[in-house]
Amino acid sequence: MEVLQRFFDSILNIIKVSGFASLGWQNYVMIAISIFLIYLAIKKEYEPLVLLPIAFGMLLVNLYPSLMAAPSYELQTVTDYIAQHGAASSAYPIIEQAGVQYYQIPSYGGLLYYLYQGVKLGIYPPLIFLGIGAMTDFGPLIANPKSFLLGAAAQLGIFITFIGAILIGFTTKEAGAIGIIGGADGPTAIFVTSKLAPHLLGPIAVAAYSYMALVPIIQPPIMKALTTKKEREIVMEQLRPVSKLEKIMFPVVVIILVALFVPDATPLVGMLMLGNIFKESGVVDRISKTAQNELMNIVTIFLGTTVGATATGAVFLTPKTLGIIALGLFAFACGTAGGILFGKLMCKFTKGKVNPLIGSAGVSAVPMAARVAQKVGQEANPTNFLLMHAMGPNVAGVIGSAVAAGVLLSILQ
Amino acid sequence: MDKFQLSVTVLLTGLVVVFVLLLVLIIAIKIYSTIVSKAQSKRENKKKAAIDALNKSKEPDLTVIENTSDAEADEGGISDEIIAVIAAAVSSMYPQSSYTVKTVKRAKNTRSAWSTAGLLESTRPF
Repeated sequence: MEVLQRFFDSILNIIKVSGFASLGWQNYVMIAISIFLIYLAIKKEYEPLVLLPIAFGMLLVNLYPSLMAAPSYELQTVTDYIAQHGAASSAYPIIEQAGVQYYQIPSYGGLLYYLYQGVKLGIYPPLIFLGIGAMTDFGPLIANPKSFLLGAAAQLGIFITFIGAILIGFTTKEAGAIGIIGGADGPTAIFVTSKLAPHLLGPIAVAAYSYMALVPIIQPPIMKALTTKKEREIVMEQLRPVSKLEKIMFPVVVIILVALFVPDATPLVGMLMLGNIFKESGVVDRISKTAQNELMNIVTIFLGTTVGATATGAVFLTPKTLGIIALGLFAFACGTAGGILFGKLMCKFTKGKVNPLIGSAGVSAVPMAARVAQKVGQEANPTNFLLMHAMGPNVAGVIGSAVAAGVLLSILQ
Repeated sequence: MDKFQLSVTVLLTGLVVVFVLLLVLIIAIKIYSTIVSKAQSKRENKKKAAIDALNKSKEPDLTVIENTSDAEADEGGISDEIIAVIAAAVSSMYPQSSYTVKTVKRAKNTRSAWSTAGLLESTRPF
């Protein structure tokens, strides 16, 4: 009989601690959302490298919230401890409160809590930038430095959205984090959000990466609405070849100037340029390959999974998330429009030598935004090849959004 | 500072700083690109001038002696194609030096062509 009783007690205990008893309705909704995101990542291939870990992290944390639990301490009086265990312990520190001695017994945090420290402390996004730098050819930008202006103009979305978010009722720090979605740069968005509004990390990361995947759908209507067919047909002159020395000097010059002007942008731009000098120097091929492959992949797994794991039901299922998703789209649209309008201006000043479509690539989202510029340009003029011209503003956009992030951090932090 | 003021401040500061910094970068890149391309074109011109001067001065600069028979054979016995191949082989062995092929002679066969190639391959790094 005693065995049976123990058996029932054990079963009851397992049921009590199981997810069926501990999860709320919000967790189940989030599980459904995460499965939908997994579907989008696999079937529709929406930024699968990032969206899949995010979605799965979201699934894990809503099934077992303790995965993200922070470490804590439990206090037990020394006398109680000795009564229970029959002897004193030297493993735990003793603290005294109101004349009573307590053991400080630690309980460790969940697995994802520890991995999440890389996001919280701003470590992963710069490491991702290291890999991006090692993969990026800044040649088109060096050949045509005016592209930098388009990369700057496309940051308009960040600042306009910041105002929009404040008007809707977000706090200034939250508005800064939401605005950076307009930079169309995932690591930058995560970096800024982890510093300004860590509680919004889940919704902002999902919005940023989803919209980056939707660039081919979001941008073309705006590009066509703001340009005439004649402008879209403009064929640009071939870019000049860039020497190796110029490419090697680029990261050094950029980081010196950026770090001196906007020190808060140094972690992102610094690592971007470090990765780039690895690539361009040609003497550390092994390191360059590691930065763009193994390291980047490992960090992407940690970053995606733990960012997804911040999206618990209680945080994600709020009206704020809807606001973030709407504002994110607005930010993308404004950034694209800013780039195109400035492209038109440059077209006027250069007497028709610049195709305004390349301005849309200034929103970062490398290389998707440049591909979209190429595609829309080719629709208007099948013999036109804008890809390399659009890569200039595209990589300038990465530097531009990192600088904009530095500005936001220096004002709002 | 109220929210409206802060919004305008962020908008203005953000855009101005981003534009100014990127403008500074444009200027910096233009300056160093000009310096680099000028320096490189100067170096190339110097090289060209040196090669021209060398070619003009004395015709036979570097006498190339290649493997051929013990008896001195003039180029008349060898086709132009073979001479071109020998010149190309010499050029690939001594890429830095400028030379003119003056005579082609067969050297004494002390080592087979394969062992010479192997020797060159293993000593190239030094």
